[in-house]
Amino acid sequence: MRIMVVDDSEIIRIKIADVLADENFEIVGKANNGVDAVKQFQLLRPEIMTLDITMPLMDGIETIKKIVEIDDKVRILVVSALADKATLLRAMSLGAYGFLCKPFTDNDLAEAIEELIEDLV
Amino acid sequence: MNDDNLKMFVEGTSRYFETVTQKPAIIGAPFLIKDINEYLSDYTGVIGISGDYKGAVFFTAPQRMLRQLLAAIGILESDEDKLMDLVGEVSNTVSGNARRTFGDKFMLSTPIVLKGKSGSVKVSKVEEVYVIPIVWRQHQANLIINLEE
Repeated sequence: MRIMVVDDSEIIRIKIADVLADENFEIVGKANNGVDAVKQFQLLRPEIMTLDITMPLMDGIETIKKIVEIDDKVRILVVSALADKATLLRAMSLGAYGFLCKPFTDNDLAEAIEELIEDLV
Repeated sequence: MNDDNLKMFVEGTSRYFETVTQKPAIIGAPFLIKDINEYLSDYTGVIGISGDYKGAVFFTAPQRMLRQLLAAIGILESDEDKLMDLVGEVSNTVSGNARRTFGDKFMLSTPIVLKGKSGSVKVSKVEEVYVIPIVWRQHQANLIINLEE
């Protein structure tokens, strides 16, 4: 399956891409802010997106709204340090499918993605 | 900042190192300081806080520690951009996790990164500044909390 990784930290983008490539996912795009994420999404149309919340230019909450307007079937996994319930509920109500709190282990990430797509495979 | 709030930052810092590196850090007891500049290291990530609390959270660490931390994460290249990215990400993660206690009105900026011990960092004089010392693989870093309600 095709995945896009969105986070303002290059280290996190590399880490997520490495773990998911090892799980045989195809990394089709990476973005470091919401504006670039939306532009790339329109072109690349991945089936899955990992998405940070705190980012420059456009945060993850606004990005979910824009992405879901384009394609409401995309599976978005929010990967964020923001550990409060309100952020989780807001992201999920806007169309995110899952939420993984930073910091995370490789296993945490792989399991979160598996849960995200369990009804698709 | 009360003891419970400081304890939450201690636990958040401990959780970061344990989860990301599988090698726990030794986190010391928080203590009050007067001049933040005495506690800054080679690289410092700063998260500005607004909303119900105002101020900043700093994570500051020596270059050698950051190189080893990157390797432990699985990132083998450790150029300057990645060292700066890493201090920003640690400060962001520990600050973001604090919303578990403080709630969503604890608003975070994106990270600002300082290089070197500039000697000119100024913080709010209204509230205390606390340092939480961190020792990981024999390297000393600090989490610095400057928040007022």
